[in-house]
Amino acid sequence: MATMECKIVTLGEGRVGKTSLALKYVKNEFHKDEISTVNANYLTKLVQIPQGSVQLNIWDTAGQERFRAIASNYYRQAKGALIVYDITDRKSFDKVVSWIKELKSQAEKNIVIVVAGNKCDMEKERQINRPEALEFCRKMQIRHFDTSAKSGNGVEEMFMELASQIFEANKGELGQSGRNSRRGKITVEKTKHRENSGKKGGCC
Amino acid sequence: MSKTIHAFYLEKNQDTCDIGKKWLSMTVLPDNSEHYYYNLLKASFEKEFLMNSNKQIDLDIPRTFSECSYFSKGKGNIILQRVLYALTRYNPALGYVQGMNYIAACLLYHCKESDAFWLLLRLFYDYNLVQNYLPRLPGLEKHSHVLEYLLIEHLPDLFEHFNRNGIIVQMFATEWCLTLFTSLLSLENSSFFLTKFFEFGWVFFYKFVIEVLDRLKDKILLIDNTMEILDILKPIRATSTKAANEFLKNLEMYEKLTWKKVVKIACLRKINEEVVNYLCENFEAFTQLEHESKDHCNDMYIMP
Repeated sequence: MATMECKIVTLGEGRVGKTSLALKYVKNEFHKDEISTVNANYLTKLVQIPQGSVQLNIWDTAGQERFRAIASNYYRQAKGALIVYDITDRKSFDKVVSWIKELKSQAEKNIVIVVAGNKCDMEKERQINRPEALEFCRKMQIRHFDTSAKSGNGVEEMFMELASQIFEANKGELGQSGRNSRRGKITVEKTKHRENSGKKGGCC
Repeated sequence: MSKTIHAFYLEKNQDTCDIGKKWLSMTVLPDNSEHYYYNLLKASFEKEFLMNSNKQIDLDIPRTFSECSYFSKGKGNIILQRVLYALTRYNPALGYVQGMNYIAACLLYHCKESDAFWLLLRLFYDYNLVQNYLPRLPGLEKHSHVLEYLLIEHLPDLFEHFNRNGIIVQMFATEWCLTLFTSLLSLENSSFFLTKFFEFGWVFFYKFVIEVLDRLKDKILLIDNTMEILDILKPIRATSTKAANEFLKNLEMYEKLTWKKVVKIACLRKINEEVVNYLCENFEAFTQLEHESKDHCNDMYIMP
């Protein structure tokens, strides 16, 4: 079966749990006071999906606003992006919008985006309504997941979904490169908000 | 937590040790340094526009060297917070940037509060560390530029190998620049690095990077995979002490190493300091050119 190698990037405000989600998924580890990420971490995991296998190269970035200047170094050539917010922090959810905008205008055209509402083990302190988050993502045609890096809830499903959407969106490139070199050129034209062709493009 | 911070006149914290005194001897502090620090700290609670910066500080404190009980349970955690608050009050426009917390903690490990604060200020403004944290991170660009030159000069095969694997200096050296290696070396070992840095400045930093890369070179050249190479250069870690030891093991070739030894060996390295200084001094001109040509390209792109 074919293996596809692809780069994905984690984005989101500081301390929302980007590193924790990646670590939980890749190494099944959780640290309450995860070391703050300066610059970026690099992790990989091979994912088996029904259609084949995907090698996810996760570029886990630093969340503080000042580092945004170098973020484009990281999402360049990324096939997927995981945008994380903290359900107990309204401000972190507001940042999601600006990340989506930035990715749609700056990143690869067919980049697959998923949004994670993290720390859902802290339901009592929730500040963002679940319906509100879902409605927002539905409008953007982006899948939303409730996750908890602490309990592991939703983490596996989210990365699986990301992997399979990326596989669908890029399977043309798996075979011979002839056909898609032409497709690559077309992307030079500005086609904003073109959704990836994943069948599961809708929201949950 | 803010209640405890407001109690300015806590019992005196530990005095500055010999290592801290050595650092102080290499810089000049104003006469009334302690008094000035406490005034600044007091003022830091009166400015609302510092709220954002301070919030990030609060988030980062529990995860700065949390394996050390002085910072996780002891009062080190409040003192670190106060030093960082005072620092952002000193230059509100700069604010707090992640990375500062590690350096501040390492200074505090050996110094009393006000001394640590002043040493931090000295690093920022006498050693131009501040450039690393300014918007667009210009210092980072500069150091990457110099390191790239040094790689071509001293480790050309490694530089080629990085190129082939799509690796640029920023991908692994950013954290080293922003934390002066303290996040990697951890509390116990950072003092060796910082002492040489106070003495020789960025030239020592560059030598240290080249020493580390030279020692990793043979391992890296065998790997033709971007992620695996980056994992060697910037391993993901849970606690810093353990990670510092694991990283150190990777640097060993024939002999048993300590970080103190690596610092010593790196310091003896020869690099062309004239060229390095030249590159640093002229860097602003380079970037201006670069930005101009980028703007130029953008203009061209927008034109129908």
